[in-house]
Parts: sequence; structure tokens; C-alpha cells
Amino acid sequence: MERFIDLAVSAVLLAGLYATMAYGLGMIYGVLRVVNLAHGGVIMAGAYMGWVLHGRLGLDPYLSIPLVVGASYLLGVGMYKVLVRHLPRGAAGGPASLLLLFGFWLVLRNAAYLLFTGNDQSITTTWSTRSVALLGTHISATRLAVLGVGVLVPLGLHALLRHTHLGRAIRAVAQNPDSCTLVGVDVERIYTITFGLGTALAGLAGLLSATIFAFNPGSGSGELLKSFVVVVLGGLGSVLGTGIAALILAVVEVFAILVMPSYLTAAVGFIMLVLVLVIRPGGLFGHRVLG
Amino acid sequence: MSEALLQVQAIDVAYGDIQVLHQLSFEVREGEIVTLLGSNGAGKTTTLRAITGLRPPSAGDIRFRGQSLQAVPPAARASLGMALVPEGRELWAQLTVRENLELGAYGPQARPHIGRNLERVFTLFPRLAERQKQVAGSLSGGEQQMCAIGRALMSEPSFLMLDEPSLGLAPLLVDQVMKTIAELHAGGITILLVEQNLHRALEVSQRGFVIETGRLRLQGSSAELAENPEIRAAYLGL
Ligand SMILES: Nc1ncnc2c1ncn2[C@@H]1O[C@H](COP(=O)(O)OP(=O)(O)OP(=O)(O)O)[C@@H](O)[C@H]1O
Ligand SMILES: [Mg+2]
Repeated sequence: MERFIDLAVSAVLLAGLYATMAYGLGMIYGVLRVVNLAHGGVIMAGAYMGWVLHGRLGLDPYLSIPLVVGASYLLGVGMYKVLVRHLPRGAAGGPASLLLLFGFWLVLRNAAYLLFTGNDQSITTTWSTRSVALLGTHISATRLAVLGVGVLVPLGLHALLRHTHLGRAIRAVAQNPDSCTLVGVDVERIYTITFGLGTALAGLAGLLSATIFAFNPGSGSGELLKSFVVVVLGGLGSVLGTGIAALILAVVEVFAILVMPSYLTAAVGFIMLVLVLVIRPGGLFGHRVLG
Repeated sequence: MSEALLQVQAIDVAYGDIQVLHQLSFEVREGEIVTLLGSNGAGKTTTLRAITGLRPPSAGDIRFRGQSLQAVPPAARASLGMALVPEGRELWAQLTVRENLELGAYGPQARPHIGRNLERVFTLFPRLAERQKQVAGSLSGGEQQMCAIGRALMSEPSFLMLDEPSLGLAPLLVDQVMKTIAELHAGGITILLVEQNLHRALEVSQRGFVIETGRLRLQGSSAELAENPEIRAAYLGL
């Protein structure tokens, strides 16, 4: 029983991270119809940004959130303006954009090898080892913090999308860009901002994940796969759907440890992806885009 | 005679290799209500896309209040006072009616007056007020058309283009839409109406143009066009 609670708690704690990761991927696809294959690379880059800020400047990873988010946003804006803007979109543009963004990931990865070598790193702060007693078990303070950020940030984005002119414009561009142009929305600007926001979420996810897990320049593919599973399961950019899907993935992954050898649990996400695509290709919660 | 509000001057428009408009020219004067007629595929929608900038001409020029639109980005044209009710409504189906309307006033000039214009639109179409919290995709065809017209009115345009607003509507609703267009015109808005429903279009408008495979074929007052034997044969089935 105690083990059950332990596992349930660690699943919930992971879900916030998964939601943050996936929301960025879903948002970019929902608005631009581009699968950002470089997502995993940005997650890895976010981890290194936090690591450098912590190692060189002694900045606590939670204090460096605004810096990492800001830098990742700018990285996304640059990626959009230099690369993505020129690509064909939608089904027709699939192969071209997939290859280019995958190529960009390889560039990021190799840059990280050059700068930081291939060694595993992690961000350990003075309070990394602290824990909080809750529900009769001890919960690591970092994981609790990751959950907090992972819940607050998607909720904040949800509010932005729902209640601001910019957010409404983003949702409208996802549905019908020409109508947006007609009412005076600069659609290219919305694409740039959306790509920036999606990338910022990836960077944030990388930073959060670096406070829990070890990482190296090759990291990111597992995260990308998990993001895919959550997006396919939860729908594009629906905050509630993303949250529930993230929780489902986390629960399944964590409890898989009970029934299969640990080296196989990494395949759980992949199996879920295939199952969902076969059984419910539209996702568990229908086709709603953003909001 | 009032001056030209919109001047379309010898425009060519192509989709890839296929040229759709050929040296098309016409004018709409301030205060007029004009119909653009033409059969399926004649290039009516393309003409409106050229004016709004969604499909810029490869040759020729379009002037609005004397100013060439070549250097005006499409998204900045709403602020000049033009609005389009597109063919097939083109609403944001998953946004609410109210969100659709509010986005109609996205431009910097229109945004401060959202409240006033919402009220105006709700007075014109009380149905939209009742349904403002529903997503636009759940509206009936007639209500969607009202929503599309309402969205265009949110920027207080002085020039309104409507692309087949009666398409797919029951006769009773067509009456209502035409009546609304006449009212908007009476309220001071210059109107360019695209229609296949020739009867109704000529009833409400003062002048008309007929285009055929992207070229101007005929123009004249609505009364003249309605009497024209060629038109009667081609469009009215008489
Ligand atoms: N996106 C496009 N790509 C290629 N050809 C197009 C495109 N849109 C329209 N066309 C072609 O351009 C021509 C003019 O089309 P347009 O939509 O302007 O006609 P229309 O007069 O509005 O017709 P309708 O009454 O059917 O709405 C047609 O031959 C059409 O097939
Ligand atoms: Mg048309």
C-alpha cells in the first residue's frame, strides 16, 4: 500500500513536467501545422541553460526560469524567422519541415557536445535533497516545485489564450488564418509569437527536468516521444486534455515498473502512442484546438 | 457625381500558372451599392481577394480613396475602412459568437470601440445576442451569415464587400439578408455585392458589372442589366 502511494505520488509529480513539454509541441502544431521535431533539442538546450546559469553564476534553477524562458522564446523566434517561415506547411510540407527541424536538432546536439562534452550532468542545489512529508510519504521538494510550475504555466497560457486579444488571435489563426488577415491580424506575427511560446515551454521543460533527472547532449528524444504521446492523447493545446493525458502517461509509466523490467518501461510511451493512434486517432478528447 | 472610392485598374491575378483575371477594371463610387455578377468560376471571389490583398494582382493597380494599395499590407487594409464578408462565411467555428465579433474589431482603430459596435451588431441581429456564448460552428446557416456580417461591421467599415451572402440560405432568410444590406447602405456604407442570385442583387443595387472568365463583359444600371436579353437568357433563365 505504501509503495502504491509512493508510486501514485511520483506519477502526479511527473505529470506537470509532461504537460509543460507537450503543451509547447501541441501549440505549435495546432497553430502552424508544423511538427517541431527540434522540440527535443530545445528541451536539452533548456537543461544546459539552467545548468550553466547555476554552475557559472550560482543562480538557483527556479530563479533562472525567467532567463531560460526568455532565451528559449528568442531562440524560437529566430528559428521561425530563419527556418520555419520559409517551409511549406500542412500535409504537403511534412517531409521538408520534418527534415529541416530534425537537422536543426542535430546542430543543437552537436553544439552541446562541443561545448559541454558528452558527460551526464544534473543540477543539484542545496535544497535538492530536502523533502516534505505529505500523505504519509516523503515528497522531494524539487519534484513538488516542478509540479507547481508545470501546473501554473499551462494554466497561465490557458488564461492568455482565453482572455486576451493576442490569445484570441492565436486561437483564430489556428482555425482560419485568412479571416484573421481580413480583420487586421498580422498572421506572420502570430506565427512568430506562437513558435516562440512553444519553444519557450520546451526550454522551461528542459530546465525543470534537469532539476530531477540527469541529462547529456543526446537527451531529448525520450521527451519528444512523451510529448507526442500526450499531444495525441490529449488533443492540440487543450489545457485540460493535455493535463489529463500527461497524468495518464505518467501513471502508466510509473506503474509499469511493477509489471515489467525497468529497461522496458521506456517503451511504454511508444506502445501507448501506437495504441492510441490505432484505437482513437482523434485523441481521447476529440478535435478541439487550443483553449 | 461623387468620386471613386475604389478603383480597380487593369488587374491580372493568377493561381500558379493559371491566370484567372485579365486586365479587369471597374470603379465603385462613394455611397453606391454595386453588384458584381458572373457565373461559377468567373473570378468574382478572386476579385475580392485581390482587393483585400489575400491574392495580390500580378499587374495593374487597386486604389482605395485614391491611394494605391500595393504598399498596404493585407492586414492593414481593414484599418482603411474596408471589410469583407467572405464566401462561405469563414467564421472561426470553435470560437464563440462573441469572440468572433470581438475579433472583427482587432485593428487599432476599431478596438477602443468594441462595446459600442457590439451593441450595434446585437441591435441589428438580436439572434446573435442570444447566441453570443455559443461557438460559431453550432449556429444555423442564416445565423452564421449574420455573424459574418456582424464581424465585418465591427470595424465600422465605410466600404463593405459581401461575397454571395445569400448562398445556401432559405428564401425567407435571403429576404432578410438583402434587407439588411439595403439598410446598411441607407446608413451610409458603400457596398460591393457579389451575387449569383441576379434577381435579388439587381433589386437592391444601383449598378452592376458582369464578368466572364475574368474579363469585364457588361456594365450598366441595374434596370438596364435586368432588361438585357443576354443576361436574361444567361442568368434569369428567361
Ligand atoms: N486557390 C485556387 N487555386 C487554383 N485555382 C483557383 C483557386 N481559387 C479559384 N481558382 C480558379 O479561379 C477561377 C475563378 O474562381 P473564383 O473563385 O474567383 O470564381 P467565382 O466567380 O467566385 O466562382 P463561384 O461563383 O463559384 O464562387 C476558377 O476557375 C477557379 O477554379
Ligand atoms: Mg466565389
